[in-house]
Amino acid sequence: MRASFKERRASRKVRGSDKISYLPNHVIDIILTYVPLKDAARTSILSHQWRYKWVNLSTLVFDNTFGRVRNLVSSRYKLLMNIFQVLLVHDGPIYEFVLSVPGLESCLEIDQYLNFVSKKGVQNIILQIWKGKPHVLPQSLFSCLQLIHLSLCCCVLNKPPPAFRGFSKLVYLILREVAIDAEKLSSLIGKCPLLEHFTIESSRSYDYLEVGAPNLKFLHCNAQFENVIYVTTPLLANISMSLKVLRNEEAFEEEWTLLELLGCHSVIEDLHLDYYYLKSWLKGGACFSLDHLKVLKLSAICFGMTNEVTCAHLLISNCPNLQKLAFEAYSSQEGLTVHDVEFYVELHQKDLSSCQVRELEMLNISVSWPELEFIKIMLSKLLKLEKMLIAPNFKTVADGGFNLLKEVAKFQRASPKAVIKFKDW
Amino acid sequence: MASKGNLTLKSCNGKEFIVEEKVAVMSTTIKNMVDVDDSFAQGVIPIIGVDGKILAKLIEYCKEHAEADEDEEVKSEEYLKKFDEKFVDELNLNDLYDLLKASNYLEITKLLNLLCQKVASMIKGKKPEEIRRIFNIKNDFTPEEEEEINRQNPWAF
Repeated sequence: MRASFKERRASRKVRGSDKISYLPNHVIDIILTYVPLKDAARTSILSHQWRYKWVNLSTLVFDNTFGRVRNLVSSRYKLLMNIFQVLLVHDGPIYEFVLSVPGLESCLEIDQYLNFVSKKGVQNIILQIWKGKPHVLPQSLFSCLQLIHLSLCCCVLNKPPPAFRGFSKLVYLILREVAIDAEKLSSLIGKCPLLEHFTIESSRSYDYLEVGAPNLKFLHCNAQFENVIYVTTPLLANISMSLKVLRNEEAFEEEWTLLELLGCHSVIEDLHLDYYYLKSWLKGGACFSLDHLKVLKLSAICFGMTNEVTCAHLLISNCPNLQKLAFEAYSSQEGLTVHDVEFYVELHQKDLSSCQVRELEMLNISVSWPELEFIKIMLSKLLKLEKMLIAPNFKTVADGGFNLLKEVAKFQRASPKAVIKFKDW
Repeated sequence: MASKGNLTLKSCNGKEFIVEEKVAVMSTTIKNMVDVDDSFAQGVIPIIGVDGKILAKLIEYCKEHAEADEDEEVKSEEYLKKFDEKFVDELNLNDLYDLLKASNYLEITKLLNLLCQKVASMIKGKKPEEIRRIFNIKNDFTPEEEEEINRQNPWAF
């Protein structure tokens, strides 16, 4: 009796001093997902208790913490083999698979990895090709029916097999430089009924984008679309539309007309447009008001271009509940004309008294005359303004923005509460 | 007995805590108990295997987060981040284990993740000997076994 009591006490003592090894497997799995895969694999040498804990990891992240492909063929081969080794010893479901090793180029092995995880109940896939040609994705991707999050960078999405009914659980879809045509893209979105977040970034241009996603809340397009057609988007509250190419590198000559940039029955609360989409919005009719809009950001706007300022002004007056307004300016080299001066004199006359904006941001300001005029108008018209933030364009403004601040401080403010904040670096 | 909107939680060593329901239901386990059986909402909920000291810590955490969920203005994300940091930094190893087990059992996901991140930060980038020393893990491998493991996953070592 006494011996067994002693034994029990001894065993308790051992367990008492090393409690981490005896935590539930589920807890160990969470702990190991928070360390890089290399560290997780290294725990196999701690003790017998730890020998195979890491092989059940439900998250496999092959990123810069795992390795990088250098120029040598042997380096690439070794890295691809190491990934195979991990998959070979792995046991159990793989819910998250991340393949984003710096320097990774398209290769057949990627398809084999995807085939493997497609049979492991994978819910999240993040795949990034770092250089070379885009990777043509295997059809096995379309058999990952448990997918919740799919993020692809520099890939080619081919037509799904005829039996593909859609990703019925997909919530996040992020496509960066993914080659897919407008028809396939629209069809894919239409087959993801739970989709809430869709991001597309591409230097290509598309004829159209058809959004038939009843649960979509966030749409981020950083690419050129000729037309956006909203089929069903009753919940879409956050839209961001901009071109990927920088304004000074703009290659597009023609300006397209977006027939339905924002949809007719929009519940948009947060909107970002660049100069290109802002102008398209006006061309597309611009007749309806955006009653739910609270935050509006307009980027790459040239205050010397009167048509852009007209669009911006019109848009603001069409948003009766706008709370926050932000401009990111683009400075052009063009000189001031008589027409510009006349335009701003007229703009001073226009009414903005019903505007609810409390917060105004003017970013990347080069202290040009039109920019200062616009700020002057905003300060003299926005009755509810509480805070204005100004940040100069530090590439062109030499004095750190001191003159800008001096000028703006002179302007009359319609709202007595308005505080001006200056952002310096 | 707890008044309306409050629940009474009892630790395994008999300490009772009266907490607001919104704080207690941060624990999915307690939420399920209250949802399924109304008598729990009226009487005392026994928290098996969790002593008074750990239960007090759990309640401290849940209180901050429940209030933040309710009113973002009062408790900003930044404030919560600082609170979380301080919360885990003040724990000794024993409390850390006990809280891990308790938050797992009570399904307080946010806290469980926070504590797991803390343990992960103690493992990350460290040599096996260091990890063994920190957590008092006894190396029960023979040198031959150790060498074999090293050989099997050379990329990890």
